[in-house]
Amino acid sequence: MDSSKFASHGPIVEGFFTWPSDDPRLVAGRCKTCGKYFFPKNYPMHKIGCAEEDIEEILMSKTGVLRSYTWQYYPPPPPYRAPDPFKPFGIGFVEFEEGINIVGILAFDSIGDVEVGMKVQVTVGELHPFDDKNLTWQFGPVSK
Amino acid sequence: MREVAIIGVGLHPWGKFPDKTVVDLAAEASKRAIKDAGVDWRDIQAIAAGVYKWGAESGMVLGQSLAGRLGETGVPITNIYNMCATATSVLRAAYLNVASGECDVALAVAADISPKGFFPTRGDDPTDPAHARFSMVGLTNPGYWAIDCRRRMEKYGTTEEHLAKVKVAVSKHGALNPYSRYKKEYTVEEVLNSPVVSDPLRLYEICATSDGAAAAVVCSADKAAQYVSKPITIAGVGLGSAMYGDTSARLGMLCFPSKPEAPILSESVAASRMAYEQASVGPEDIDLLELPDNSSWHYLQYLEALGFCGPGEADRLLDEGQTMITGKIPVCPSGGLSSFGEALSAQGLQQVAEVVWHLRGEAGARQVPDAKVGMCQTYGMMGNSGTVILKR
Repeated sequence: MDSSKFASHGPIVEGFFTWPSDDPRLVAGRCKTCGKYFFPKNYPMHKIGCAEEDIEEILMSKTGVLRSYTWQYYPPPPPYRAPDPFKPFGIGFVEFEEGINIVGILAFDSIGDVEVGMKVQVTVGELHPFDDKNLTWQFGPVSK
Repeated sequence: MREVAIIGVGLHPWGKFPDKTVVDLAAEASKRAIKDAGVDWRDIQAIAAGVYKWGAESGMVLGQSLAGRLGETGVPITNIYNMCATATSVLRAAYLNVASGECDVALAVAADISPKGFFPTRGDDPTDPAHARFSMVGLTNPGYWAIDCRRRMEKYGTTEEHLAKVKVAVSKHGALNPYSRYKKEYTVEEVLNSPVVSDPLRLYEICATSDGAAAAVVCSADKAAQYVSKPITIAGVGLGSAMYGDTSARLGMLCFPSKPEAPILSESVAASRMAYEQASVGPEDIDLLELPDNSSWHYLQYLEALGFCGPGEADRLLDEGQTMITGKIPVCPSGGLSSFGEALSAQGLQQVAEVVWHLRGEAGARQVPDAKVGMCQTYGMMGNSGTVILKR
């Protein structure tokens, strides 16, 4: 992707994905003891018996498989900042080869554009037009 | 530990009450429970109360606010917040007060005034996933349920019609309950014509949010007969937290293990196992079940999580009418969250009051015939859940 599109923009919250980047990735944590991944990296989920401090930062794979999704037809409550007029949007539940599913907004126009089992790619997009701290991670079509 | 009974229950009706405070609601439910138990306020030796998290400090210490209203007796008061398991945790605290022998009579009470619309988040830590789920993803509670619902539909062939039939079934029960907020009986067609909120879940397949309050007076079994003729035994009161490797779309999280190493809804499985063990019963012994029907997906999934049928079999139980009052396992005879709307922290005690009435034979038109053992189960937002098993 071309990060220059949002060159002057930043994430809504820092630390969830690499930015600025032409190849943005989700920033996860990995436990060196059990090998389990979690996202975001500051909210570890361990197996029983792990060394809690033994965490490394890992960039997730670029693509995953859409295992489920929803389409939301009503504006979520704050701190979500809904564009006005509100446009219904999709949220994907995407499986990564690292062994976790991650949720994120779907960069597809309508529910007819997605299906369970399709491959999707991590992208970065604007959530709202209100200020420059408006970027979030999304799941979009795999780039050729 | 000694045996403990519920000797009185009381509800403030569920609905929207803009002119009342959370303390008003709690006081009304408490007074009804105390009257039902035939005790005096001065007989209450300990109070366990649900924390009301949406308001000011008076709601955070609901027990003290209530004591201020009903009389400051100096008894120990514990205020608890535990998400969906708040009311069950409150009952468990009162139960333990009495079971330990520390006191003979204790009050459990919880009340809630819900924010309008989708439940928002609290706090201001933007890096908290429970905050970022809104700010970065816009993922509402029904959004999580919709994600798990679609997984179920893909895996077991649950249809949109099944989801609608859940509302039809529960609304038939709710119509019979004087305490329920929504008393209309729905048809499959009406439900399928309601707007989609979080695809595949429609408006009538998701519970509303309500205000409400519920209370129970618990008493040592050996003293219960002094007060009432039909004490109801607390046979089990379990709490459970999530187990690693649960692949559910757990509410409040952004990532979820994809390789199953624990059952889905693991916190609820853990809570129910604990209560089953305490009560020395299994699902086959349960005569009625109040489960957390936050959405149609919950209704089906909980029947399986609690062991009332095998994976993917709940749709068939529904199709066969086995979950109706006259069926093999009556589900939500109160009308459930679907007919009450969710008053999050009070809901577990509303379930308890309903089961107590059935076990006493006082449930009127919705009475489950000859009910001997009843079960109450809460949902597991952010990985905690509560189960209560009551016996007559």
